[in-house]
Amino acid sequence: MELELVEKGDDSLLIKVVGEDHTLCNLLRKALYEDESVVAASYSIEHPLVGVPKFYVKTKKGKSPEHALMDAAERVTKQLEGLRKQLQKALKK
Amino acid sequence: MEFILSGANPAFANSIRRAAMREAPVMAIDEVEFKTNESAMYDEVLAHRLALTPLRTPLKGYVLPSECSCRDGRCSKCSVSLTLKCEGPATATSGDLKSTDEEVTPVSSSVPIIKLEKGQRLELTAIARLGLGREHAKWQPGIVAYKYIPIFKVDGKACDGCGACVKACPQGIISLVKEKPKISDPVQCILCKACSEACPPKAITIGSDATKFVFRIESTGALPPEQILFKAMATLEDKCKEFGKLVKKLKG
Amino acid sequence: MALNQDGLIGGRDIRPVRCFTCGKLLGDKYEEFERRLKQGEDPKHALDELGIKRYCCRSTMLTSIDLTDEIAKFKR
Repeated sequence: MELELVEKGDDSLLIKVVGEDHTLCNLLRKALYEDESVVAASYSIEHPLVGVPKFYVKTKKGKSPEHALMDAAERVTKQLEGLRKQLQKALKK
Repeated sequence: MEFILSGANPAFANSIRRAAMREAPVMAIDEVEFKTNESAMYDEVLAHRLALTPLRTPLKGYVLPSECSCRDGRCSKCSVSLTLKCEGPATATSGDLKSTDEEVTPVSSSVPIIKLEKGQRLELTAIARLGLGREHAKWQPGIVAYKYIPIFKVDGKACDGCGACVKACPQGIISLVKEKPKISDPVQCILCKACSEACPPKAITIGSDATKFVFRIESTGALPPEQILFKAMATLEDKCKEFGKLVKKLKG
Repeated sequence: MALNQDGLIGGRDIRPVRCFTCGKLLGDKYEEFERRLKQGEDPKHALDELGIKRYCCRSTMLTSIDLTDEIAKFKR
């Protein structure tokens, strides 16, 4: 995975997520919606086979889009971690 | 394997499904060297059939060729070689594949590769490697699908207890309790809405619960289904962590 | 096969290894399926007993025309 900066504003960010697809982007997009300081979050993959996702985040003043992204990633990580532990427990039985 | 995922959203469920189908590495034959092929089929047809034959994948011990230090994908850390030698009259099957690692063997020994007539010989060496489902369908560990849990609502005033919905349900899970329809097992519902269409007073509405999903994992046999799920969640977790780190780096 | 050989579609002339649509392994069940059909068993019953549930897999099994014996006579 690699991130490329495309455009940076005061409260917005447009990045390319090289090497990733809907699996990660859609997950993060939905997670960003839970953040109240996020005004807009979306991504597009211009070609289904060779497209590189472009991810856009816009936030309200006070929280940077990078911060919102980091928070979203952490929230999802925690959610997955909890689920994985549940599965581990269930498998041990 | 079947389980219910609750407290999630559709994006989360779909990401788990995608990760399970695309990101859980399994073994599959990736390269075939033919020594002799006197069968009626071309080398590439046989290679294709061999590639589609699922192989048991050990959980530990192998790495993806792209992550291996050998770089050519031929060392014992990232590849297994299997040999097949068969002479007609016989049918060469997946069971004839002799593996150098007893943990990497065909899931089923009775997949026919090619039928050989008398005197026809087939001898080959196949190299199996770990791979991801996003690269080729032969590396898909199985079929992962989910569906919503229904929200079955009956307008108590409009319902006249005629039982049309009971007859209409193809799954046979609706029954009348005190003259009002009830779903006995929501997991079985296929959300076809036959009940609401069949209802003369239009008393039934079927919605779907977007926070609860019934997942089904059907493995090809390469990995146990719970391991597919486990690997999917682990890779998704790693991706999120990596993403977070990269964003931090980007911010500087 | 029980099917008419005139209905050869899309080069489905060797035994399928997997379902064309979903990827379920069918190769290990094909010989048994054929044997059952030869004995006059109803295809529906045979498919049900072999645990082939989805209609994609069922159609792959039903529409495959096994010409392996014919092909084996020829050289490439």
